Amino acid sequence: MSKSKERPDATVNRRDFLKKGATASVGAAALAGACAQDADGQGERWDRETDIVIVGSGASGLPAAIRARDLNASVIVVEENFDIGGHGIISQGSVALGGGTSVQKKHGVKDSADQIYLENTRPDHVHTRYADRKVVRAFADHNVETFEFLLANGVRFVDVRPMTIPAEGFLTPRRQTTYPWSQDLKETINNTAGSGLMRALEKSARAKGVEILLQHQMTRIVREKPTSGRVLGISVTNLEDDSTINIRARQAVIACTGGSSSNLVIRTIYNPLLTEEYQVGCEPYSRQSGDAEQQGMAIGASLGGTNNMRTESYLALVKPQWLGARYGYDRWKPGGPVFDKAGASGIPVQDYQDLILVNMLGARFYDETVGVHLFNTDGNSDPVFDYLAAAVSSAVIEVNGVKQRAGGPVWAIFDADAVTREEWDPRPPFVDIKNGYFFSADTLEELARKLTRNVYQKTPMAPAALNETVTRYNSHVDLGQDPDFNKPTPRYKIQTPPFYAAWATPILHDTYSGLRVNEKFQVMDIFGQVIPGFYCAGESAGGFALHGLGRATVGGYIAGTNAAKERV
Amino acid sequence: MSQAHSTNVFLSESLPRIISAGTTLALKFQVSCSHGCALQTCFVEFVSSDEHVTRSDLVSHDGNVNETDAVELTVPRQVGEHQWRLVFPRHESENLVHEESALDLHFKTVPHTCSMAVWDVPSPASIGEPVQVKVGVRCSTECQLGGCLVEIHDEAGTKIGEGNLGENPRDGTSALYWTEIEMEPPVTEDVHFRTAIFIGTGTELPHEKSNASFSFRSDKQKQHLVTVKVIENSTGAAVGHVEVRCGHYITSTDKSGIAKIALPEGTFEVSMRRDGFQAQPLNITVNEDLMVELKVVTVPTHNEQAEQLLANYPWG
Repeated sequence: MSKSKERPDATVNRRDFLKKGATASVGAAALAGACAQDADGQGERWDRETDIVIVGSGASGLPAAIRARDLNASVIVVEENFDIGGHGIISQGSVALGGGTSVQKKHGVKDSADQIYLENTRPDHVHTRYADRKVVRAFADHNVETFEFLLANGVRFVDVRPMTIPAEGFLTPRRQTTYPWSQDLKETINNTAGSGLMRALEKSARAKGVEILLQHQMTRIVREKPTSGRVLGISVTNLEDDSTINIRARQAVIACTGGSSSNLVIRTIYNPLLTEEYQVGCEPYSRQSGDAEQQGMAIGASLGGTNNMRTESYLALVKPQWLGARYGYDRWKPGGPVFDKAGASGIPVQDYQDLILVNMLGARFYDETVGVHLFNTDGNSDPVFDYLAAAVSSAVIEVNGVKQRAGGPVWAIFDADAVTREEWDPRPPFVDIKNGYFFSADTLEELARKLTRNVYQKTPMAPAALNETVTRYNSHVDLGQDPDFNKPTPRYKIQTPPFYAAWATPILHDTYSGLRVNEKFQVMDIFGQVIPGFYCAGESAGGFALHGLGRATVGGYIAGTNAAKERV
Repeated sequence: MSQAHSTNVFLSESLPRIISAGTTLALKFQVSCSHGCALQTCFVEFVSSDEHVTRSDLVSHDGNVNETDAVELTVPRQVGEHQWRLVFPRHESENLVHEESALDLHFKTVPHTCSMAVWDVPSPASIGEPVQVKVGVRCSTECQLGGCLVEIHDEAGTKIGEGNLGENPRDGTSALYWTEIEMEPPVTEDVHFRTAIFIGTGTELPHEKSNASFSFRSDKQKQHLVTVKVIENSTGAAVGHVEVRCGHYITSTDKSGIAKIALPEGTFEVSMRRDGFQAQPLNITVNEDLMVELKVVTVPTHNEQAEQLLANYPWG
């Protein structure tokens, strides 16, 4: 398994990594390779050396690692989190792969690579019409291989006929769900089926000798010259002791950092309205750090497929499912490993008639009942995107005498009667009072005053404004219609003390654009040229907007294949 | 000859310019010496607006600033401009003099702000029948407001009801004192606006006047009793705890699945709400007492739907 180019007798600067960084199995990755003045390193001091460095251990990182290892490359994976899995382990384990997989054949589903390609480049569907056709072609051509690769590496799927996902543009049944866990795999993070995918891949990767450095964050990509030449490796920070380790990649660096929704700089490149208040799906477990994009652009990489990164597309920006907590995309389970960071599990809404949604100034801005079901059964979206557009820009504030349009928090406002109807328990651990994401008060005016305790409520909500909003809304209930926003027959007044405000600010989820890649998932520079030795896959790779694990796993598989075949 | 050090006396945190009358604040006094001396044997004098003097010992020194323990100070109950004074008196020991320093603190006291809530507003109310509502008032500093007068005025500003707040806050609130008030009946079919007003008098400390607008719908007088029986469609079993809505009128079924609701003559849509059940709304015309059956079917509860959503939606 180890390769001759690993140099066990080389003088190694083991520095800190031996203290804490090498807690994972060392496997095939070289301990050797530290050279104070490496000829290829342009004077860079290398602490570690391996064939391929992969940044991120999620749904593209681990397939890339295993695939490269299968092709006899030594591999080090660096992961900033305390555990592997990225968003993949938090997901529901829904892997949409087709083209004629063994499972599709078993259930009589006819599919082909061409069918995948055509469905993912449909001009008549908002989610597919902006796809980079070369990237989709490569994706389509590797679906079957990737699916069988997952099976071969221990991933088990629930044995049912695959399903269609009209909302994503394809009607051929491809969606399959992994088993959440099995006795020989470690526990899940949030009791979701994504563990079945990621723990199986982790087990296989470790068994094959992939070294995984947890709590190591990439801080720099090293290229021969700042914006030209080959990518040589990366610098990482060991988050446990703050030390820096330089890892040389003899063949390639594959960046699989999971998108950029958590990165304020990168996400506001695509949409400057997405300021700091918006929460991000899968946080606080995994960040969509934007490290690949940011560090890639620092060495001359280009973004690609940016038209896909509209927030009016599928799951890029969504209404929260759970209110009263900072992270309302998933229901974080009390007792789970990141519950302390999540603060609360949130409360779900049965009926949006039970509340109103107001902006940071205390004004309603849209019919609250839209966006409950993200997509209709025919695949067409609910008017949620108009709701979201209003949510991120309905507040008009005045700064130094000049009007500014702003987003800010969105609050669900309701009363004691709503708590009874919804059968909510407005206390921790269901709601996050301590960190300022849930408030209660005797009167609406007191409630408005309390909201300044929320870190994102930077403009105080005028108590009278909230009072006026609710009084007006209550009169709409008497009237039986909502002349302001056409909420269908407003049903319940907000009148019975105590009153409540629950955090209901929209959530950023998918990243649909990233570094520009070609059909081999090699990263392109701003002049349209390949950056030698640099690959990107998953949500940090631009190309097309397919949601979730299908795009991630295939991208990782292709990148791992091509990186392993590089010969320097 | 003695050496002289200048001093500075100040507050650990700045005093707000505007403070609610009668508020008690916990403040620490601080003194710094130009040479960083520890002054634990010294004290600070606090001079209130009525010239009353209180001494507080300096008890700690962090190498730079000397500090007293927290001192509870109550601002005057009278509304208006006030002044306090802090004095670090001249202090001499051996060959060292610490010069006197003083700080004048100017602030304004204002009446306590109050806010209100009005609930259990019947809507629709019947024309010609008195309307009872609950009105609550809360002081921002949680003053006891029991016994204070609240009024209800119509859109023309005419008083149409009044009552005195009860002695205890409403359950589930920290300081919402409340009462039930009967107000004059509506005379037309419409959506009406009324205003509950807290005059702000009758309290020990000054309170601002406060008000809260509310609305209700008025309808013809209720003449008929409609009994709605909610049963499960396939089994015929009665379904209790179902919210039954006839137009704007809402009630709930009892354990035996029966809801009784008084309605005026007219046409109404009968609908229901209970998690885990669903029904097609019925249209009824009321011109006599009626009994209707609303058949419901069981559907997944919201939690079950959420689980299903997670399982079936392409979240990832």
